[in-house]
Amino acid sequence: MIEKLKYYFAQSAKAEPLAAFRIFFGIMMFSSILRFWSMGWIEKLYLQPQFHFSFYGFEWVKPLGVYTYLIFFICALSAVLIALGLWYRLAISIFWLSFTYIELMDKTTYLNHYYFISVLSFLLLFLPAQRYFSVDAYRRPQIASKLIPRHSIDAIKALLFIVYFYAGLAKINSDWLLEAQPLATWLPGKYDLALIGSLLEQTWLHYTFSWGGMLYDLSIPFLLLYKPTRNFAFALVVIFHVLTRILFPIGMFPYIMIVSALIFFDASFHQRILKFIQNIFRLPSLPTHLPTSDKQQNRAFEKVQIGFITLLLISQLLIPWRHLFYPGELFWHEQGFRFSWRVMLMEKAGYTNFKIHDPQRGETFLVDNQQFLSAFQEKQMSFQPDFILEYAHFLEDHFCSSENRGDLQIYAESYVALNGRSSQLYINPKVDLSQEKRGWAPKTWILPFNDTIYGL
Amino acid sequence: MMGRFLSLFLMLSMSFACSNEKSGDSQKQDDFDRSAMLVHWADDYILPAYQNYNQEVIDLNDAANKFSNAPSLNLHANLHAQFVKAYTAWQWVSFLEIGPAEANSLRNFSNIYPTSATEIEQALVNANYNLSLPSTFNEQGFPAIDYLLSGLGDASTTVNQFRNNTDYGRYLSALTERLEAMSSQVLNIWQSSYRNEFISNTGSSATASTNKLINDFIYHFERELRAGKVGIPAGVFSGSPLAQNVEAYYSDSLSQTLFMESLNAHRAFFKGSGFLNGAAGNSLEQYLNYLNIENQGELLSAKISNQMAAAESLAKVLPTSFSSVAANSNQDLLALYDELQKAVVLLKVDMLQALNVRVDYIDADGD
Repeated sequence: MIEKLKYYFAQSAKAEPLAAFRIFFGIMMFSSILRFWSMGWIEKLYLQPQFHFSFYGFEWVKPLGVYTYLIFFICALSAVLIALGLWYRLAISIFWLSFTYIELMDKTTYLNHYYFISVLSFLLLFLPAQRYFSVDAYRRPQIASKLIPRHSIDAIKALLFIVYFYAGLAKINSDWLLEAQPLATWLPGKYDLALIGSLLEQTWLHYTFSWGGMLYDLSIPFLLLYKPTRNFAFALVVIFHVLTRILFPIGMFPYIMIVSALIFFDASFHQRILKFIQNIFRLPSLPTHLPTSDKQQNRAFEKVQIGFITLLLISQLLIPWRHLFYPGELFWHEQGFRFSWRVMLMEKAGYTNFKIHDPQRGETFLVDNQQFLSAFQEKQMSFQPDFILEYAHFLEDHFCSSENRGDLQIYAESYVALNGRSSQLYINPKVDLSQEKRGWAPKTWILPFNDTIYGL
Repeated sequence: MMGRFLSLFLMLSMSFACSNEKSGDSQKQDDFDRSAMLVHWADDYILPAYQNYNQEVIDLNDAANKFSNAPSLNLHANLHAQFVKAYTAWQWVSFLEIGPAEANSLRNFSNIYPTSATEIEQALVNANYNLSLPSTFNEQGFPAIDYLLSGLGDASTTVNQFRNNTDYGRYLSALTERLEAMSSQVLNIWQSSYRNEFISNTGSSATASTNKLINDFIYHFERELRAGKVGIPAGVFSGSPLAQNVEAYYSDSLSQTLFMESLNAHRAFFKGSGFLNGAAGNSLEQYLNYLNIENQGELLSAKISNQMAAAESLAKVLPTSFSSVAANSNQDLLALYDELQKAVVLLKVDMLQALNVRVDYIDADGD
């Protein structure tokens, strides 16, 4: 076993796929940030709201007022440097830090694909993506190499494998497969699409898409890995993601996944891409005398890298299962729902109001959420327990300090509907949320789900 | 290789398209006609409601000018009667905050209450007031007219005040004239261009007509009907009743009528009853029934209707003045608030989810 591993980690692979991946990644990230900025979302999501929802333990990560633009600028700039392969290690470090900082500023905007970018950029931190077809390699021939350790390409494949496969596993549940939910709710809403619009109301199509989506997610990593099916698999990737782009508001994610899937192709394919780029931009030819071994790197450093990569991948395998520590229906209480590649699984909506009781003054009143939250924040807060608790604590602090009140009791009146079911009471209305602590302990004040969803 | 991908893609999409045609017959073909719903909303509800409202504010402006020119008890009674009619007509267009009404902040300029007596008194002595400033929301519209007609004292005191100080008459006419001008402008734009824009914006995006108007409707139900007319005066948001925050506070016995009108307007819109003859057309109710949305074993549309009826049955036995209810038997207002709140849950959670309508103003990505 040890021998096999040693042998594996000693293997080399051609550098082209990783170089092409680096370039695509940089371009994609740069355009994503540009798009985000041009939509006015920095202003709307990070500057306008007076309150921001934090991830537990990251309360110190907040938007920085007008300097928030600076973070986005730095992030975009580092993406360009990544694409160019200029000061790669520094650029990818800054990208990872700034991008992750942006995602941690307000969990209202949490998306699995943003998390994917954070994880992927952390992984890229440990991969020698600058050794070939980069400004770094051009300026410092001593680091340039036509070969890289084989595991540096395999690590990216492994991450993609986990993302797809886990997304597929999560779809094995009774709502998705037996009720075709939430697609049966979402698809008819797209009735106005040309050509397929009226189809989207058909029940058989909802089931076809549900089962097809599950089978796609579970099988696509295998089909991409196995050479004879690779071209077919990539065609599926394109069709699937283009379709999701048409049907759902998911921004850049489909393009990122399509481009990422190219990593599964052989070096010869990436060679042609690089040649193509070289011709367009009339880049100087690569030195022909590049070393064909990658032995020049510091062995100790490489061991540390392998350690980090292994840790990252193991954690990716384990983190999605943490919901097993929480009793009850995962979709309902959402403890352990994020960071586990559960995508497009739920149509969940809620309506949550807060009642504040001031025992000293004998007053009880409701809060107008729009006084403190943006419409987007209110929507997200209304069906996610950790948001509800954090906001309840904010309200306690706010009314204590701004109105000089003593100890307050905060109660939530919350109704939530999941995957087409009737709305039901969500939070125990008798529990004073000001007494409940944030953290990882099971949230006992969430009322049980009135139904059962079977599956993983 | 790209060529191969492309042909594969074409092949797949073609087989996709073909299989559709065949199986289409056996499936339900009578797609709910959403563009017909927009046409029905525009032609049978929105336009007649605006026309009716516009006529009432034209008459209101006439009556106000007559009274201002020659204040008398008789003209005051005429004016107040017309004020009630116009305020009633307003309730039917208040939630239509879309297109020209939205662009001109029609609701904010027409019906922000409580109005500010102090600011009105300060403004009216000044001959060149600028009523188009947002800072003057609480110095104009129906609540300010309500103050001028009924807030200065009884009818004879009011008449005397108008006789002794022509500033009052001038300000009153300015207010009714502004209501008329805004209403005419909104109606004109609806008639000349916005109707066609409205009915052709049939998509399902957040800015499409259906989505926007449904959001406006629910927003109004929640914030104007539930909170504004009932919850805020009942002290739901403040801890103790605020009797002076009812709608038409100075006319005193008007608040229940206005509440009932507004509730009826919401119900008519939900059920798709036309404004003039109540003729039903494509509506939210029918849309929900078409999608066969059930809620705890009952049709969701029926639950919503029943919930509105429950609120109505509580409201209609209340005294006509909500400010006296707030002061004397506030638990009745709180009970009404609770019924309205139940309707909001059904509309905002269950109906929005069933119709897959995205909540307004949110255009960020999902995943």
